[in-house]
Amino acid sequence: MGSLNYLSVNAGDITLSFDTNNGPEAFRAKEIIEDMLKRGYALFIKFDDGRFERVRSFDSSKGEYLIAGIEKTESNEETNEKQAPTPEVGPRRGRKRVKFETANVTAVAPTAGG
Amino acid sequence: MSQQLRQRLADDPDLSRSLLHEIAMKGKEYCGLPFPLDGHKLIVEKRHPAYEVFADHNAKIALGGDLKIVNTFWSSHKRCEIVIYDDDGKRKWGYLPGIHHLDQDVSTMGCSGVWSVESELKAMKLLETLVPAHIFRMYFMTGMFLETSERSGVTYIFRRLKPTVAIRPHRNRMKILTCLCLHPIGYYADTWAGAMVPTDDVIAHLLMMRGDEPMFWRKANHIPAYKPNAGL
Repeated sequence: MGSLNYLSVNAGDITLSFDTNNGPEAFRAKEIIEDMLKRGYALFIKFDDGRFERVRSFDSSKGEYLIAGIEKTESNEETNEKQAPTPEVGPRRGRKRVKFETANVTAVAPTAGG
Repeated sequence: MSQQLRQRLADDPDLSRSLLHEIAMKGKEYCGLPFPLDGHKLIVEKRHPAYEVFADHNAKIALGGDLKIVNTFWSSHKRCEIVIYDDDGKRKWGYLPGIHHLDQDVSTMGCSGVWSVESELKAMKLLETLVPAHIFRMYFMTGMFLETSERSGVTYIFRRLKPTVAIRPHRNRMKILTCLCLHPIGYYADTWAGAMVPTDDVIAHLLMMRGDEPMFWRKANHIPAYKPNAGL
């Protein structure tokens, strides 16, 4: 079950849940994600270790968010069985891939300054 | 629109909000449509499909007589805004006092009718999932909280209905770098009120700082600490 939260002006915060095993639902969710990115929405993935990363693009054929690669630090490289599992690492250099069915994402509309 | 419907919408903001939400969903505006407010200019993000509609709304807000503002700029020497305007074809200038931000506070209070209590409570619940319990308690009690970026070492004071303050240590003191102001979708000019409820604005700042700090700095307006609209 995937989910996408977005901040709404009129209706408060909304959570869109979708069953990725349900073809039409998954297709609709992918359409929304692609449309949001085209319209300039900023999507942020929350990882289990509390980090956030902005989504750079979305691969709808594989249902994967692409985020910037994470800088490797000593703590990242250490193996630790007690750590929460990290998302799947994709093959592309400079971009990590995260499956949309497991990602916890919040979308923010394009901003207007202030 | 009939006078009866206008009156009904004016008397029931929740009805107006749900109608705007329906229209927004039909147009695939996932984050909704902002609520125009009489007497307040609503500045909407330029790529928003309703940008032209709200530009028309803004144009109808009277400046007073035949005055047309040509330009404004901040004078550090006078500590106020200098306004250049045309009055009946004559070019004139004047001061806008910049001693304190009481005017902005009052205008912000005037915009509170566009938000729903339910939306603000939902936003608070979402914020509760994003920050530790003691930080949420701090925000609930004071309307602000601190977080330091692991990437840059800059500490941010996220504030309800005020710009976010960026500070960092400098010679045993905390130095204010700037105040960062931005609102998703839009905001009401000359106020600190955004189109979204106050806590949603805070969440947007927090997510942008955590998820893409350079973008947060790029997108926000930087307000020097000495200006009244920095809210300090």
